[in-house]
Amino acid sequence: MSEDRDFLSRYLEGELRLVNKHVPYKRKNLCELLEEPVPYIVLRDGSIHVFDPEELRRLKQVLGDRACNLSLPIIVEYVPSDQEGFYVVNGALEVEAVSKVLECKGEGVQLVLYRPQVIELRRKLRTSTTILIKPGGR
Amino acid sequence: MSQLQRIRPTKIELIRLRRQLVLAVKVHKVLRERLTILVNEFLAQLRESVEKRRKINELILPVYNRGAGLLGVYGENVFQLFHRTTLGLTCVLTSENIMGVSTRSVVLRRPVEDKAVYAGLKDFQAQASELLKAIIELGKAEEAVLALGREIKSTKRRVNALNYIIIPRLSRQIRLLRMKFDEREREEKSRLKRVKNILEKRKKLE
Repeated sequence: MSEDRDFLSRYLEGELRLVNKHVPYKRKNLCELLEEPVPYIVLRDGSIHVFDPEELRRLKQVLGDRACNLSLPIIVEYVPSDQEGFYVVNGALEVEAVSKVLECKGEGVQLVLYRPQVIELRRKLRTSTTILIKPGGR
Repeated sequence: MSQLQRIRPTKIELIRLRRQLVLAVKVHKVLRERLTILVNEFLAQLRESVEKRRKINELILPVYNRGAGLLGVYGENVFQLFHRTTLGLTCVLTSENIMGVSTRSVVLRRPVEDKAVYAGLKDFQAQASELLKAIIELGKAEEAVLALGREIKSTKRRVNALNYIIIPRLSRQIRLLRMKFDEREREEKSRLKRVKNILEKRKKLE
């Protein structure tokens, strides 16, 4: 029985590990990606994720001169809570890009988003955003 | 019930079960959120694929009509000529990752410069490339829909297993252990009372 329970713990811990397998090993700059013939990054599970060049051009247009400092993909952290969780975007440039794309007010280094906004964001920037799930909360 | 009987009624076991319950609840919450995100992605891809299909249906008839017109004006070899005089579109087969679901994707690479072609062929070329792009986008969206559907199915099974089997089972086991410990405590108390009574009686007799 204890072996069964150990198996259960291992399975549950594995699930928590695998839930973020789509997060990149290393993020790339927007300019670096724009120069590549096929803009891509390598993810934690070893697979390749390719960016949509149109989305990259759109981000470049939105951010102007500072676009080269933006690291992609933009990571949207999901923070669970007792009720429905919320999403957070960290980083000044990321916040600016997301707020301009969503046409909402965003200042500082952190932007809190709720589910409908995240759906809208994913619709507009499908390949250049990724959702990170934080199992332990904030 | 058989699984409940097999638990060793010790405090360590209770602590371990409680830890597992906390972990299971956490995993359940995370997987449920992942499922919601996946369903949203699925619906977005589905909407996109319907939109693309509609666009293809709108584009395909004008392209066909223009192609037939060109065939009538320039003759049978017009498409070979077209193929030789224009730079073709190339595409790179790649993969895209949506919330851990890998789907096939295509990156279109447009020709850098266009050579001059016969009158009427330019418009046909533009329309045909737009149609081709829409077909590729549709393929991408439908592939994503299929892959997301498979992932949603398996995630749903895991969420349901946690919700209806694992978490209730752990809760039942914890409740059973608590009941056993309470029972033990009550037994201990009554035993002590009994011993106290006996000792008092002995004292009186002495």
